[in-house]
Amino acid sequence: MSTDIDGPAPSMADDSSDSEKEPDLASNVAPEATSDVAPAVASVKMRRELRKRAAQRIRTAGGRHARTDLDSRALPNDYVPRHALSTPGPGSTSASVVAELAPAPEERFYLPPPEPEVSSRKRERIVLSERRRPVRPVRTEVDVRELTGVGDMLSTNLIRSQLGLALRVGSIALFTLALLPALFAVFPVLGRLEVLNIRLPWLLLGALVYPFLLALGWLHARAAEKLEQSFTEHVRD
Amino acid sequence: MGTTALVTLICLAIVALVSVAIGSLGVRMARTTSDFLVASRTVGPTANAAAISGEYLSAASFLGVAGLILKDGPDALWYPVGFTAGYLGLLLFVAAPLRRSGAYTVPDFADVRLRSVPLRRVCTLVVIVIGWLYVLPQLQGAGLTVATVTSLPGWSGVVSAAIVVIASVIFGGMRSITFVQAFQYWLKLTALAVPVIFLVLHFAGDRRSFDRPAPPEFPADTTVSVQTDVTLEVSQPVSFSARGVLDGRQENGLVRWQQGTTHTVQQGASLTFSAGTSVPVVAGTPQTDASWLTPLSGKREYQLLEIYSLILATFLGTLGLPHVLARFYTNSDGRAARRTTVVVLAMLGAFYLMPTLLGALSRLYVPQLLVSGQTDAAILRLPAAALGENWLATALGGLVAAGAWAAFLSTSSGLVVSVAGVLFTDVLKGRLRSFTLATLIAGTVPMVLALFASRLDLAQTVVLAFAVAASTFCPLLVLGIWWRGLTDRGAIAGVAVGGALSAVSVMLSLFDVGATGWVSALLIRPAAISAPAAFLTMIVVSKLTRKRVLSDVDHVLLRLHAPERLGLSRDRLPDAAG
Repeated sequence: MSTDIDGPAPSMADDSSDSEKEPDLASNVAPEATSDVAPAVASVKMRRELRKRAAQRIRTAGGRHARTDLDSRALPNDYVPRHALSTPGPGSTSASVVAELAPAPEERFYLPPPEPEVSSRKRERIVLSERRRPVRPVRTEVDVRELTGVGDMLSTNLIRSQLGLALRVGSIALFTLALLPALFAVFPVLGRLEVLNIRLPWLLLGALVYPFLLALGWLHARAAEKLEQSFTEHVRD
Repeated sequence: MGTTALVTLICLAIVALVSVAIGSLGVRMARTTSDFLVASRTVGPTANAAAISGEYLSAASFLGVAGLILKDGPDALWYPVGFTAGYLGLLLFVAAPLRRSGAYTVPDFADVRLRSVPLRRVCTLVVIVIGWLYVLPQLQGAGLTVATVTSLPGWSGVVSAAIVVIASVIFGGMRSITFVQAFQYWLKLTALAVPVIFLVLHFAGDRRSFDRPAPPEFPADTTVSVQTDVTLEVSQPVSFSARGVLDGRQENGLVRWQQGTTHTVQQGASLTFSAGTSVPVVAGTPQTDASWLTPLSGKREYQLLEIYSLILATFLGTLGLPHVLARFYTNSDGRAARRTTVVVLAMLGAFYLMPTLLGALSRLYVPQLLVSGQTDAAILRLPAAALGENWLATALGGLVAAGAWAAFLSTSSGLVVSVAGVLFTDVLKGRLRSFTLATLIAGTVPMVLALFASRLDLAQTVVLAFAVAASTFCPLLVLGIWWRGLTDRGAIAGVAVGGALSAVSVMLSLFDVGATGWVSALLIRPAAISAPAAFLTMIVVSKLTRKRVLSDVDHVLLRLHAPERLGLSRDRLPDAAG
C-alpha cells in the first residue's frame, strides 16, 4: 500500500454537502445570517469554515451518543500520517488494528474494500508511506487552508499570549532558582541559618522547592487553558 | 556470600523475571503501537503521570542522588531539583503543542514542522547519542548494585543487566504498557519510603547530630576495599592498617596519616579502620560535618559555574529526552498533556524527598563510602549499617536493591526501545532490517561503553545526557513550536553546533582527559555554553536562509497551538474509533 490510503482530500464542497445532510447538527452552529455588520470577506469565510469544522467535530466526537456514520468524516478512519512508520516499537501501526477500526462493510460505503491479506493474517506489517519521499502532508494543508485574515490574527494572538505566559512563568522559576546559589555565595550566613531546626538551604532545596515548582506548573496549566478557552470562544463567536 | 546477599540476589532475580514475563504477556495484550494508542485514550492524567515518573526515575535518581548528597551536602540537592524543574520547562514550552503535533519522537516532529529529511537524519543520530549516554549510567548502576550486595565483580552486574534489558525488549519489553510503568513508580516510591520510615525513627532515637566541627567517624570497625583510585584528604590524624599501594608505595601494616595531608590510594587496596576513627574524605568534598551542612563548602573551584550549568542542562534537557517524549503521546489531548505534567511535578517532588533524607542519614551511618568514593552505594548499604545485621535490615536491603534494579530496568528498556526504534526505521537497511538486531545493537553498545568508560557518579553521567538534549532537541523543539522563522537549514546548523560542542566535551570528561579549572568545569557541564550556542546558531542561520521558511508555516503553528475542540488538528487515529 502507499499513500493512496490517505483517501481523497476533503474539499469545501464535501463539507458543505455534509452540513446540508444533517440539519439537526448543523443547527448547533448558527448560520452566518446572524451577523448584522458586513465584515471582511475573509473573516466571514474563515468563520464559516470554522463553524463547519466545529459542527463536524461534534459529529465525529466519541461518546455514547456519538453518530457512527463514519463515511461522513473528512478522512477515512484508516488514515495514518506518514510518520507513523512500520516500526514495531514506537511509531508502528498494524494492519489488524486498522482493519479492526474500520467500520463494518455495509457502513463503509465510500471506503475501498479491505485488502484480503490484511484480514487473513493475524500480524501484518503495512507500509503506509515511504518516509524519504517528500510528500506534502495533506492533513495540515487541508485542515487550516482557509484560515486567512482574521484567522491569522487570532492564531498569532493565541501563540503570542501563550508564549508570553510560558516565558513569564519560566523566568520566575529560573530567576528564583538561579538566585539561590548566588545568595548562598554572597551571604554565607544564610547557609547557616536554621528554620524549624533545619538548615535553610536544606529546607529550601530539599523540600520547599517542590511545592513551588508544582504551584508554578499548576498556575501555568490553568492560565494556558483559559487562553485556549477564550481563543475557542472568539473563533466560534 | 551471606544471607543478606542471597536474599538480595533473589529479589533482583524476581524483579528481572517479572519484567521479562510482563513484557511477553504485554505483547499478547498490546501488540502494536496502534493498539497502544487506542487503549491509551482511556488512561487518565494521573495514571499517565505515574507512568512517566516510573520510566523517568532511573538509577541516577534512585541511587545517585543520595550518594552525591552524602559527599557534597546541599550542593548535590541541585540534581533532584533540576530533574524536577525540567518538567516545568517541558510543561511550559513543549507538552501541549507536541501532543497536538501528533509526533512522538523528535525526528517525527522534525518531519511535521520542517519537512526536512536531512534534519530527520541528524535528529536520529542525536536520539541514539542521548539514548546511549543515558543507558550507560543505568548499566553502571546495575553493576554497582550487584557488586555491592554480593561482592561479585562489577562487570557481571553490567552484563547481566544488559542481557535482561535486551531480553525484555525483544520479548515485548515494557514498551507501550502504561500501567506497568505506573506500577514502577509506586514500587520505587515504596522501596525508598519504607526504609525512610524505619531509618528516621531509628535516627530520632539515636540522638546524633549532623552539626559537628569534625569529619564523620566510623561507627564500627570497618574494612574499606578501594575499587577505583582515589585521592583522600585528612583533616584529623588517623591510623589504620592497610594492605595495598598507598601514595605509590606498597604498604602492609599500620599506616599513620597526619592532619592536613593528601594521599592517593590505588585500586585494590584494603584499609581497616577501628570504630571512632575519623574518616578521611575524597579530596575536593567538604571535610567536616559542619562544612558539609553548608552550601558551596567544597574545595572545587568554579562550583557556582557548575551549579548554574547544571540548572540549565536539566531545565532545558528534560524536554529532549526520547523516552519521556514518547510517553506524552499517551495523553488524549494537549490539555491532558499539561495536566499530566503538573501531576508529574507533584510525583517527582514526593519521590525526591526520600533520597534527600537517605543521603543525609548515610553521612552518619555509612561514612566509609567516602573513603572508597563509591558513594552511589549509600542507599544500598544504609539499612544494614544503621539497623545492624538483623532480619529487618535484610528485608529493607532487599527492598531497596529491588527498587534500584527496577529503576534501572524501566529506564533502560524505555531508552533501548527508543534507540532501537530509530535504528530500525532510519538506519538499518535491506536484509539487516530486523527489530531484534536493532535491539541487540541498542543494548550492546552502551554495555561495552559501561565496561570501559571511567565511572563518574551516576547522577553526573546522567546530566551529560541532559546537556546533549538541552543543546540539541531543546532549541529545535522550542524554536520549532514558538518561532515561525525557523528553517530546516537553521535547525540542522543549530543541532549540529550544540550537539558537537556538548558531545565532544561529554566524551572528553567520560574518558577523563584531566583538564583543570574552569575548562574542566565546562567539560563536565557543557550546557552553559552549548545550549545558548545552539539557540543562537539556529536563529542566525534561520534568518540568513529566510526564504526557506515553509509557506504554510502559520497553519502548522496553529495546528500545534489550537485546542483540539476546534478540529484543526487530526490525530493518527480518529477519536470516534477509540
